[in-house]
Amino acid sequence: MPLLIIKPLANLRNNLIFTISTFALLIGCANANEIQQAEIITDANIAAIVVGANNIDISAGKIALEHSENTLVKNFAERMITDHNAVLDSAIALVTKLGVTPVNNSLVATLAAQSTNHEANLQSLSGNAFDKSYIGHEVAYHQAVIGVIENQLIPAAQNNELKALLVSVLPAFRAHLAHCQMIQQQI
Amino acid sequence: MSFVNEHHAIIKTINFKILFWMVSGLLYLIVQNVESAENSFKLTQHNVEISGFAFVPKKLEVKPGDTITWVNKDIVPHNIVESIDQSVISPDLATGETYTFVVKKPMVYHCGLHPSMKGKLSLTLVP
Ligand SMILES: [Cu+2]
Repeated sequence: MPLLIIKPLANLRNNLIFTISTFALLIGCANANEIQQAEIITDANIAAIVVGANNIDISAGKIALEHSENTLVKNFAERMITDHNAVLDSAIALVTKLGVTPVNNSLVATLAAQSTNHEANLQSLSGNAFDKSYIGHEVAYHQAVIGVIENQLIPAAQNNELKALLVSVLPAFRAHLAHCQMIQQQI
Repeated sequence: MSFVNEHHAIIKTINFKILFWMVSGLLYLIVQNVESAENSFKLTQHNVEISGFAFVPKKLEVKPGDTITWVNKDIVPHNIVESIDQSVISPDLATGETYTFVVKKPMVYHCGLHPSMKGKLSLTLVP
């Protein structure tokens, strides 16, 4: 399964342009995933993925703070900004200490492209449609990132401290996933 | 005659022995009861660690008047909210911060920032 096919179905129905671009992304992801299989994930790649994944969620959170009028959604967005900044800071502190310079790989590129796409969509939405798209994407995004950390990054990590960092950030992602799933039931 | 006296003395000794054991047994029971009553009223200080987005231990048996101290060992802030009436127990606790609370009643609680984090204080019955 490609990692980042995480557009809520409602959007696929409602937005033809988005359907096309999502489909294009889906194909792109499938290819990226095939490349990913063959690629060796280095600690430098892991550093770039962790930094990228946190930044993406902080960025989406900032858009949600501006666009949403729902208290549950705004509180969640604020949490994403605070928590992912904390994770980002500790990740940067560790890779700096280890002397690892982040190096992008195809997964980082896929994450970035997918995020640009999602943010463009968010900017065009408001009210409940915005909240549903933002929260729906957060659910899928956290599920995807948990999967990547567990199945790809932790097994690949060479440095034990980096591996420990990855293990220690999983509960944060799981708590966030449970949180946005709760909100999803209420909006 | 001397045989009768001797016999009497033996009976007296036995009676004193029985009395001695009865009294000391009674004293022992009284002391035990007082001690256990004291123990059940002895207040306890409990520590709950907040780490890995969880309350550790998640469930605690407490007595009214016991104190709970939460310490946040995570890199993100957490807080304590009563789950039934949603009353705020603690402010946001930054990394390393603690909050101490005196238990008055059993309580289910969660983190107001991360609602999946749950904890429980149940009351121990006095024995
Ligand atoms: Cu929390």
